[in-house]
Amino acid sequence: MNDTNRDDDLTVGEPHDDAPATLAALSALGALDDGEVAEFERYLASSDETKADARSFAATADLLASDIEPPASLKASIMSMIATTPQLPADAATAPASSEAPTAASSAPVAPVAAAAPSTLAPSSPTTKASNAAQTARTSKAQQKAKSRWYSGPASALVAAVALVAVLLGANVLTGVLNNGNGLQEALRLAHINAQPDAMRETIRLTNINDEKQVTATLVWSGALAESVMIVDGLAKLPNEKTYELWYIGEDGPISAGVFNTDRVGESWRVLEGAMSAGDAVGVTVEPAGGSEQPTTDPLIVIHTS
Amino acid sequence: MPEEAEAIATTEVSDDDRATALLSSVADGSQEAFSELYDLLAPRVFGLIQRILVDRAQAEEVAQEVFLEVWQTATRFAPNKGGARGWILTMAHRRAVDRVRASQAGRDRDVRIGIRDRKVEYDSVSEDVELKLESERVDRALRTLSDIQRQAISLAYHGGLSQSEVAERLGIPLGTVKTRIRDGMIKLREELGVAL
Repeated sequence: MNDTNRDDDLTVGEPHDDAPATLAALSALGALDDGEVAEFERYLASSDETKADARSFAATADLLASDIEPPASLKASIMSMIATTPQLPADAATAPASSEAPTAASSAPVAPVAAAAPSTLAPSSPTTKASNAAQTARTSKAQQKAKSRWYSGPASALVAAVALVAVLLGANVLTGVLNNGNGLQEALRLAHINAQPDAMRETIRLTNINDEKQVTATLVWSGALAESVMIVDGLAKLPNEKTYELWYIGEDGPISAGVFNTDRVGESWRVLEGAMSAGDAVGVTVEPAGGSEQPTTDPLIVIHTS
Repeated sequence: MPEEAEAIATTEVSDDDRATALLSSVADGSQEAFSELYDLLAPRVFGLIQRILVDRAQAEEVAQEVFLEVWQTATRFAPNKGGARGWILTMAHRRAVDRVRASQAGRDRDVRIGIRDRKVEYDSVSEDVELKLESERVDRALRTLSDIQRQAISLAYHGGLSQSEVAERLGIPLGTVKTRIRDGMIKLREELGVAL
């Protein structure tokens, strides 16, 4: 294997001759000292050999890293962020130096992260503009209420919704989002909630004692919108005469927030009907088909929003 | 052996071309392309960041920053300067290092992180066969380096140190670090069959 002695000549001679290659190697490892970046940029701009070195050393460094699968929630966060984050204009003046563009641009583009970060605290007094709707909305199509709110760019929002549901459920992208009786308007609503600057997310994991199956339930909510969406995985499909029912549980007791059922693999999601109040918990019970005015069973799932 | 190396190098290049093509669609505002680009590069980006930062929560934050930056600055990527994959991984490395330097946690980090044995990590982390194979290939290549070459490269890349910091850490002159890193990278490039 050791037939590489011919490389030895590279280790001797004037260090200066090797300066571009040395800087390219250091750059690929991120080890340049600050003062050398400009020098390296000059070589890079003027020498094809340095460009080739830079590229091949970067590919070499690439092999030294190992793959680690990031958590699925990371993609959901990022997809919903980009759906609402404008791109920088292509700037002719800075483009030529763009292999270092991230450095040059780093102060500006990062700012929105803080504003959009999922860890942002919920506002202390979310609006409850539709608090009466909770009782009446149950039988109406939720999207009627939602229509007036749609911000522009439904295609972007749909992509964000697709990404969120696909990531949380690992579902087949479009069908996963649009099935379960959820149409495009519901998908847009989900994306809209998830894209709010104050959007929060909580996931709980349970084990079904009957079949040992893992059940995952995620609630995404925005206090500012007073809306939330429940996404479940592994929740057993109910027989026709029964349904899952969602509840906003506040100081005045549970208020129905709509019904849903799951598909064969136990996946489903839906935007809750009615308005969420600050501090509400969201519960899921099993009810007779059509739903109940008040829960008739103990909740299987409870997620607190504060 | 040379055949294997060649095949792998080809895969790297086509992956890079794919990333570059996707990034150009991202520059036109395509979220679908961004989603594909994410799927293509996220494990490597996250692996790199996690390796440098160690702390998983911080690694997630930095990965989020990196991909948001990719989205925002895709319009300014110049393909003639190299592939998108390298561009993004360089960005990830820099962001991770920035975070290490900014945080107290970074200063408290275990000094040995940068030079710990790769093998230990792979045995505990890797589950899939492909990664295992690649790591063995990388291990083999790393073993052809001198100790100082290997340590200097690992401290820089995995430890996030600059060359001056590497020199300080290893107690050797800066000029020596430069040549060791250059020679080590040339050797690795050849051992790993990376196309020039």
